[in-house]
Amino acid sequence: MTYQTRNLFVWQVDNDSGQPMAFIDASIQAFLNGAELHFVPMCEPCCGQIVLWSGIPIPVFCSKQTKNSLSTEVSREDVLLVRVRALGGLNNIGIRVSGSPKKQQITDGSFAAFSSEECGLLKHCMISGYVHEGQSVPILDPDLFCSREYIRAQNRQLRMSSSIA
Amino acid sequence: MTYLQNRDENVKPSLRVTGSAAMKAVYQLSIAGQTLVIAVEDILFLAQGADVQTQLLGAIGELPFISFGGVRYPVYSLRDGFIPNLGVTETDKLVALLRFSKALDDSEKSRPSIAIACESLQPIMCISNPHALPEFMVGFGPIVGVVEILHEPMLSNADTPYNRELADVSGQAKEQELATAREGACWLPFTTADRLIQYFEGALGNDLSNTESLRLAG
Repeated sequence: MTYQTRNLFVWQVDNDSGQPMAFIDASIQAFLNGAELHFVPMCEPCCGQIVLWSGIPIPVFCSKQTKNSLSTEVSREDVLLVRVRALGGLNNIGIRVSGSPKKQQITDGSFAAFSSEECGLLKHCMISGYVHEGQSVPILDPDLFCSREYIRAQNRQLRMSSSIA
Repeated sequence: MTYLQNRDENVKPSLRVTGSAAMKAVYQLSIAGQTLVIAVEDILFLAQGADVQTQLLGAIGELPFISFGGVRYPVYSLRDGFIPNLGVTETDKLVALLRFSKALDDSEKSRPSIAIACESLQPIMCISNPHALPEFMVGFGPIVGVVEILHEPMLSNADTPYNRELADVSGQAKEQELATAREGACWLPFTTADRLIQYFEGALGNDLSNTESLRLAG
């Protein structure tokens, strides 16, 4: 017996390091082009900025070291707002991306060739994945960005990249 | 000791401007090169850095302290990267005694617990209530959220009464005033006395419990 997945669509976008990732339609809240990000010092390095959405500060995740170092500094970046399942009253988180998300249709065959080993740290947030233009693209659960496991791993990578630089 | 400010606890620092938004006086604290915002009621009084004295205390060695109300309180500071330290750093000019909301002993009355050194402390106006940040973001750090403040301090120095009333204007004018204020506003990290004390306890747990004997000695 075979299952047809003709109508399965995801939104694919590159994170700020240029790595492709995807979210199911229900996860997407908004795409903010050139959003104003406020640096918040003394927070987790991979989640040290906020963006204002409907007057509420939303935490923003990054995968690339931010140059900000003072609480008064502001930068402009593309941010994808995704829904989380009410983590302590929080309904959305932001993820720094490069470019706007694009809708992709996934076919049955594209699941089989997927390899999570090509997804780097995003494998901590992954629920599934597919192959697009020969590249493995993880489909992510936004709630998993807020897990200790992902935050610890991402912080470690940011520290390593900053010490190399 | 020269107190820069010794507040009357009965004075309410909050200024109600509209039904939905409040303009409230808070302190902007410059510490270890960063700016933090803390509620007025979380700081009991300010002393100058020069008022810090030291005392030899057993296992700790030389312990910096300030005296207030006949009690001695240990002085802590933060260096770059928010690393807790005993005493003041070269850039610290003021020492703020924090008000701990929980009683440290059996008495019902709350009392301050530690003093924290800072580069400057300025009364400013915030135009939003503090927004708590999620735990996964702040981790074990010394901040609890963010607050929207005016870029330009409305109150210029520590001697200015922090409970200054805004001009008695109509509701519409107040809305307009708040809207104008928002245009030049920014967001700053917000902390509380309890969170700062917790942060020091986490980093210097043993030292803090040892300094209890300093208070008794005072």
